[in-house]
Amino acid sequence: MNIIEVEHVAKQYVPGVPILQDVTFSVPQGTVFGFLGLNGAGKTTTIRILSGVIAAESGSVRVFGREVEPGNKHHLATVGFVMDEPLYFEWMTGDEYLVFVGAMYGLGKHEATTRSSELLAFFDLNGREGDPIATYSTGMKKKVSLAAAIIHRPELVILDEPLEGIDAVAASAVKETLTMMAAQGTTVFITSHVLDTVERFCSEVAILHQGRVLLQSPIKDIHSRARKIAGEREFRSLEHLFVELVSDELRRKPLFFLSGPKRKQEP
Amino acid sequence: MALLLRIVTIDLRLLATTWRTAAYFPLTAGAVLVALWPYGGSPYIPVVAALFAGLESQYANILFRSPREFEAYAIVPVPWETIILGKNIATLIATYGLYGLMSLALWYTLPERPSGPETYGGSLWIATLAFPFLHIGNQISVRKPRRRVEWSFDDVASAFVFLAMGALLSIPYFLCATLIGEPLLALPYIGGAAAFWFKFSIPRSALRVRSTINDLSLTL
Repeated sequence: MNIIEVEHVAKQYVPGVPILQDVTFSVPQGTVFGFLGLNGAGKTTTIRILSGVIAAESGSVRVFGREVEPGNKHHLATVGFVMDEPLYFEWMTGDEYLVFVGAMYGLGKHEATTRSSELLAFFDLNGREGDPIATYSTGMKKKVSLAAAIIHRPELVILDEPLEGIDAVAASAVKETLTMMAAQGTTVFITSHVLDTVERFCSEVAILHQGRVLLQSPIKDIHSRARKIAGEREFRSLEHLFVELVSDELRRKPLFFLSGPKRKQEP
Repeated sequence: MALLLRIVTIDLRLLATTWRTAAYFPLTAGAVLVALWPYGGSPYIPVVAALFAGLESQYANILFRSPREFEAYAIVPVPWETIILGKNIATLIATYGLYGLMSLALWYTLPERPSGPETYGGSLWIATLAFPFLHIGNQISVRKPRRRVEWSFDDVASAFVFLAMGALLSIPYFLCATLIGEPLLALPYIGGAAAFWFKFSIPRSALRVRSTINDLSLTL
């Protein structure tokens, strides 16, 4: 069963500058799905469309079998989001924010407080839970937004760059948690630039390039599928495959100033 | 209900923690100074003017009063009706809370304390203004939101426009209180305005957010 079904979606913010041109992919239940692409490929726009915060210009977007309509919040109860910019009231403390978000998802005060304490401890935020979020580091803010995304135990988690800006220990804890959630049937949709992590962490990936999905495949089959697209090449890793696929149209000239002998610095 | 109360609380706390609220010190001082002027009218006229000028963004920019507030509410499964209602109730509480504080400042400053009927008349006057202002503010908030939280010339200009509208919206109360001499006659007007706000303004504003969320989110 597919939890997310995106078909022929197009979107542009400025007329004549398409962000998404013809995006089609589907996300099976219980997968950890990696959505990969260069900066500006349209990953964040896709996530915003999935959240119903913006609308696609054409095509269809279904989550849990229901068409996502901008502003219609019915599908949000079972989804947890981490957007590219952390979404919170920075004047609140970490604890207050998590309890507030829990309440927004319909948790009772006791349940929201209990889960908040557990999440704060899990993400090593104990001791700072009473401080305003505005005083947190980038990594700590990211941890709070992740905690807020899973506090209501969603059936689908959509995370934009969840591992960016957090330390290795926290990243490991996040991956462990998401893998555990996926094993219990939760579907995890992430975008990431850290391709070696994606290769080890995700069960299925899609590669978005210039507003189109170049390839979608379970991670175990991706090398064979990529060869069908890119010719009979060998790929050393997902990173190598990704670079080869997306750089066909992006062949760069080497930097001239780096190719010659180094000039001596003037005293 | 608990969710509504939480939105009300959060909105009031946001108002209390923002440095914008500090604008009430000079506004209250100005209102008291004007009230000291022997102009013959109710001493609450400058208080009510200062009150609504200071709360203009609370009324007329409800979706973007803190960074990313709109987006935060956009991704949780809470109906926009509940969010707008909660924010509007918080605004009503803030209006009367600040009215109380500014009244205290008047009582302790004026050589002759305002009379009971003057104070109670001021409360009724505020009620005749608050519900129409909530409706107008909701409409402005969803049609022409200001996507920033800092003070700017726009805010000052909007506060003046708000005051000009306040002068027009005060006509029903002054008809009752001054011409007829019975402020309580404003009660049916207040009831009608409250019913319009609750039954018409909130659902319409929520519908507008849903239908224009794409435009409202452009700064995401």
